[in-house]
Amino acid sequence: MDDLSLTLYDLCINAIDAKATHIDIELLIDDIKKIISIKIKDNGVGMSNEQIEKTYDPFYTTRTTRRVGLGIPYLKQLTEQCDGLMAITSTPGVGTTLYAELKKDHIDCPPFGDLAETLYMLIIHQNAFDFTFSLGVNQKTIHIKKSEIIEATQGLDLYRGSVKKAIQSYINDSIHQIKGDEDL
Amino acid sequence: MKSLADLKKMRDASLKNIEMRFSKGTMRIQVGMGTCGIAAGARPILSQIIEDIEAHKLKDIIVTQVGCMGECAYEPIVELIDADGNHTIYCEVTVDKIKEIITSHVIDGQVIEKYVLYKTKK
Repeated sequence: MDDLSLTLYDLCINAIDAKATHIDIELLIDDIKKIISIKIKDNGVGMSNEQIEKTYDPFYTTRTTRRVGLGIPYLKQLTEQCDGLMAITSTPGVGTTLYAELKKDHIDCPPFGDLAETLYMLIIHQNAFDFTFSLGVNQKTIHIKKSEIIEATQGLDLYRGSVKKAIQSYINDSIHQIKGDEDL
Repeated sequence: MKSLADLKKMRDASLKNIEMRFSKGTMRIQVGMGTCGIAAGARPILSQIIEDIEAHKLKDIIVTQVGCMGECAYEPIVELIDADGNHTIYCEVTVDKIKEIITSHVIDGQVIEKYVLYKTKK
């Protein structure tokens, strides 16, 4: 993965595949502790402790199309490479929470990438689910809710390039409110 | 676009002018967005498809994000399913290739054989 926005997207797809109807996506940047943390909490089918252990194995997947599952092993490797940590807690029938932390200034820490495009892709995803994206930068936080964007654009074809640009512009402006001109 | 209110204003203005896509499409475009697809660059491909649908004023196209199709080494993979149910799977798609596929296959109905991984006829 070239950037963290793609990793976030991949983790959300895991939650969607686990039949989540709501996903909380939290991205926190702490410039004092020099830490980036990612939390993805879903209300999907959940996993047993045994399944959680297996998710770290790249040769384990619940899919039948192929025999490898690389998303979680990749993130684990990335967090270890960046002097961070990763943890998954889950309860079958309740949901799963994934937490990952990376050292912000580590040379292997990837850039954030296009967060607006990731959120747009989640908005247009054909599965019915809602999400709340929270971005915190040094104590300031913004929240972007899929349901609010869907309501604001009701009646529009979300697959039109101009609508895509408008949604991404709204998301980028929201992000800009707390991060200013400085690159994340 | 500073707020949700701005987004609503844009919606109200656009609704007067646009013709809605029909819910039943004549062509379905599926983009493989598993871990392998995402890592190989599927997201900009999907983004380009959405841009091109508007740029070429295409109607009756359904775009879907799908999981891994089991051919990870050939990602990004884009599958086109036409109105007759014929499947064409394009592999190692790039932004430039998808532009070409939209123009040639989606608009003119000409399959670009050199990019095809495999095809199935109904």
